[in-house]
This record gives sequence, C-alpha cells and structure tokens, in this order.
Amino acid sequence: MKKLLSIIGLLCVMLLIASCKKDETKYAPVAFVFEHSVDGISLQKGEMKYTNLAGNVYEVDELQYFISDITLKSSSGKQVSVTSDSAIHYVDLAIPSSAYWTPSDRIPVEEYDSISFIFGISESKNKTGLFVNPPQRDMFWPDMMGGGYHYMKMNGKWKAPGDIIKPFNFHLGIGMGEMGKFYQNFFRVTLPLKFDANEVSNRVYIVMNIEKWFQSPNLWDWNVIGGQIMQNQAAMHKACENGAHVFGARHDAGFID
Amino acid sequence: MKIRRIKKVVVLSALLFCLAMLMQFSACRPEDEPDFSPTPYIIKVPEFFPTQMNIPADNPMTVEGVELGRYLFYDGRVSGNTEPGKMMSCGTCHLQSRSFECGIDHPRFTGGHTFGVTGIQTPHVMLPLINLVWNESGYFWSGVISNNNRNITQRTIEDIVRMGVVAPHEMAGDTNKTKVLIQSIPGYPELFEKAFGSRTVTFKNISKAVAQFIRTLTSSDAKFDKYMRGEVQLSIQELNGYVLFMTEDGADCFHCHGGSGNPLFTTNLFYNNGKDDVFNDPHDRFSVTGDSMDLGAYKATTLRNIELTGPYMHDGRFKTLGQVIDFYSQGIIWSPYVHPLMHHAYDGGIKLTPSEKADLVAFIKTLRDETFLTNPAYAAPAKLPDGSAVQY
Repeated sequence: MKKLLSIIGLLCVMLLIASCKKDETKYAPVAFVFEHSVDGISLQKGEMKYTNLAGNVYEVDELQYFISDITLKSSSGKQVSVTSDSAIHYVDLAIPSSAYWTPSDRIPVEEYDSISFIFGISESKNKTGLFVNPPQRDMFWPDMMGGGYHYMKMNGKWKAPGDIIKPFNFHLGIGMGEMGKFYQNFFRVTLPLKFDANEVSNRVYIVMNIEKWFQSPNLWDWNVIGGQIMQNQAAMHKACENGAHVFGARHDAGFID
Repeated sequence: MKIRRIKKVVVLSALLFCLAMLMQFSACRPEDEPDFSPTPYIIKVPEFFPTQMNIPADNPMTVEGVELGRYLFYDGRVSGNTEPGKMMSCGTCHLQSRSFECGIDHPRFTGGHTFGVTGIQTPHVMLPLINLVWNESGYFWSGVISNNNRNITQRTIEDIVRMGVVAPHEMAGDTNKTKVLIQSIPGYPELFEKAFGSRTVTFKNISKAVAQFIRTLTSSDAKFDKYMRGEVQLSIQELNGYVLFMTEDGADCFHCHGGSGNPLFTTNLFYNNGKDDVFNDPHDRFSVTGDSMDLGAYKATTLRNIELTGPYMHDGRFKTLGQVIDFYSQGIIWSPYVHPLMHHAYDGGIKLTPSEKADLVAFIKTLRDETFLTNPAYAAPAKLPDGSAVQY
C-alpha cells in the first residue's frame, strides 16, 4: 500500500513538472508597410499620367482607406491575428506616417505562408461613432446610406472625351439598395506570403496596385460608369470584385525607422 | 554651581535657537512655496465630439485662467492704449451674438470687413471662434498657425493672441506696453496670481489666459444636435435639406463640412472650391504647403451658426447664404486646381432647384446654436477687474 502511494505521488509530481514546462515558443515583433503603385511604379499624386485598361487618362490626388483584421497563417496551420488598435489601420497618402503600422502584437517565430486582411471594416465593427477624432473621423459614411465609415476614398480626375477634365470620387463603403436594403461591400483579401519570421524584426509590405481597381473582372471606364459611385451599389460591387486582385504582399526582416 | 548655570544657559539657548529656526522656517514658507493650486477646468466632451483636444501642454486649462482670459478678451486696454478711439480688444471684432465673428452688420466694420486701429484692413474676412479646442489642422483660412509650423511663434491660439496685439491690421501695439498697462490696473495682479501663481504680469501669461478662454467657446446645442439626441424632430423641409447635405448625388456638402459623423461641421481641412481660375493670394493654402494642388485652397469653415457669420468665403464675396448656395449650384469656375470633391465643377455646380435650395438653407439654419450665442459664461463681464465698464 505504501509502495502504491509512493508511485502515485511520484506520478503526480512528474505530471506537475510536465504541465509546468515552459512554453518555448519565441515571439517577434511585426510591422506593416503600406505602398501604392501604378503599373509597378510608386504612385505620384496629382500627375495626370496614368492610363487605365479602358483608356482613361487619370490622376490620383488623394487616397485614404482602412485595412483591418490582419491575420498571418503559419505553415503549421496556426493563425495569428493582429489585435492592437482595434485591429483597424488607417492609411492616408497625405499623412506619410500612416504608411507604417507597428502594432504591439508579436508573432511566433516560425514559417508563414499567407496573409489575409479585410479591405475596409467588417460589419460588426463598422458603426458610426467608432472614430470621433480626425483623420479617421472624416471617413464617416452617412447614416442614411448605411452609416459607419468609407472603406476607401480615392479622389482624382480623368480626361473625358474632348479632353474635358472631370473629377472622380472612387469611394467605397456600405451600399444602398432599394427599399432601404444595405450591402456590406467589405471583402477579405488572402495573399501568399512565404517567410521565416525573423527573431528580431519583421516587415510585411502590403502593396496596392492601383491600376488593378480598373481592370478585372470588370473593366472600369469612367466615361460609362461616371465619377461618383457612393449611391451606385452596382458600381461599388464591381469595384470590390476588382479589389480582390489589387493587393500584393512581401516580407523582409528589418525595422521601421 | 557655575557649571550647572552654564549648562542651563546652553540648553536654553539651544531651545531658543530651535524655536527661532522653526519660526523663520514657517514664516518663510508662504513666500518660498506659495500655495498655488488652480482648479482644473474640464471641457465636457459631447457625444460624437472629438476626445482629442488641442491644448498645449504648457497651458493647461484652469478655472482661474479662463476667468482672467475672459476679462482680458473683453478689455480694450489689451491693445496697450487707454484712449477711447485707440482701444481694441478681441471682443471688439469677435461678437458672441455673431458666433465670435464680426458678422455682416457690425456697426464699425461695414459689410463684415475688419480693419485695425490704424485703419489697415485684414487680409481676409474673419473666421469665428467656435469649437477651436477641437481644431488640430491649423488656424486661419490657410491653416498657417499650426503645430507643424517651423516658426515656433506661429503655432497656437496663444501665438494668435500675440499676433493680434502687434499686427498693424489689428491692435498695432507692442507686447511690452500691454504688459505694463495691464500690470498697472487694480485687480489684474491678483487674478494673475490666482491663475499663474505670480502677481507679475507677463505677456506670455496674457496670451495663455486669453487662449484658455477661447478654448472654452464650444457649441453643441443647435437644433440639429437636439435632433441627434432625440430631443426634437426636424421639419420636412429641414429633413429634405439634410438628405441633400449628406448625399453625393445631392448637394454633397458632408465630405468637407461634416455631418452626423462629424458634428464640428467642418473637417478643418483645405479645399479649392472653384471660386476663381486665377490664384494670386499670398495667404492661400499654397502659401503654407507649396503644393500646387493647394493653389486657391482655403479652410472649409464650420457651418455652425453660419447664418450669422457673413460675409462668406475668404474674401467675403458673398453676402448671404442664398448667394453661397447659388454659387455651389451654378457658379463654380473650373480650373485644374479645383478639388476633386467638387465633382460638379466641370458643369458649373450641383444644379439645385429653387425648392432644393430652400431646403438646404432650412437645414443649415438648424445649426444655429442659441445656447452658445447667449451663454453668460462667454459674454462680456459686467465690469472689468478695476470696476470699470467694458470698452471695446
């Protein structure tokens, strides 16, 4: 009996030691860099020098958007979500610092093979009053049109027939249908991103290839669609379908200065 | 016997010395460590208003500072003058009844065009002093006074107070003269002591006190605010105007002037709204940024109390709200510098019908805040600290 008790006691101690074993996973910081290009070259705002697939010559003057709920997926199947700052980041061409985001989240040091994020803000979070301070506040989307915030404002101009310069406001957000029906146009983007996390630092670049908003599967011709789409759910839907092909991602090990 | 007496004297002397030191210490204390503990002034943030406030770290809001600032705001002797014709205060031009602007019907500044004590006109018409504590994008039509200004003397409301005293087109004074005069007025040294811990008047503290008062001037009780709080209903005409205001296919005012999601009714940002096609104003936004896209761009003004703050636009070219809406409806002039949010610019404007124009004006008038316009805390005090009447 005494022997049995000793064995049970020993087993308990071993179990305790095993359960107390320290988590050996190493964690590393991660930072995100947001870049914008047209035809592979860094975007230059205010330059009427770009041509989309439909032949519209255009310029981009302002670009403001939200990226949210970023998740990195490791090769072992683990999903690591960025949670700081309510998991929402605002990018604004006029605010250079907004191109860099260093959340407080840390990622396990292992191999990763993809990244995904929401373009815009998901329905559960996209509520009026979420942002009361500028600059995010100024992205608000009228309550009568569904409320919350613009996912993106891209403002610019294009050359219409006869070389008439017309403004466009490529604004995406909640769509409004008939009989007061609202459409959530946010979408999740998943991109391949193969990298071994560096123990010291990791930079993930998210690149918006602007020309792709106007390419596929829906050819975008401002002369047909018009410059303003906030109240045109069909157009916003097409834009969001194109949006699935707009982004790219890459990684390097390095700090954001 | 002798030794005992000596001992007694030594002990007594020591005791007396300690007592003297104690008395000296306690007597010195009020002068060396004055009991200066002003009461913090808390700005109540209404629902949906920004929680970030533009208050410099070196000038925290205090009840005493605000009280002093209110006196100084309305005291014409801040100009450094005591002669009736030469006195000027902030309150000379910034009238509470006109949303702390001068309005188009000011008895001295005909048509709303202000000028200083020497008669020189200001470069632009005025902007109202309302909700400035929530403005983080720069003051004046160009936004030149901002935390981003490389010139550290042109960043804050405190700096604007100093500029107002010395500018030839305003008080045309000098800060030393003002400081000496305010120091000599009975009542002020005590108020400075309460606010800043010293009876010595400095111009820096004059600026700080006035700036504190200006930051208290907040508006959040217009009819539209009450509508948002569920306290009142808007009329059909006002609601129609609201829809026009808030929709891209309508008048699309909200992108620049805010709305339900931005109750300041301004983004405080800068836009070329298509008033001209030649740009030679040395005080536009371009003069600040050097970015050609900012040629002819000016701050989008708040629409709170806008019906009282004519004339309109940076140069006061429009006298009435009706004229402004006519301009946006069919008077926009196209140029390559027009902001893309002015998306009807290429065909002259938003083309509103007469009834739509009336609806829009009706909605804009719901932004008039009587509580702000009549708040006694913002009004001129009955008497100045020396018991004299307010002259401005």
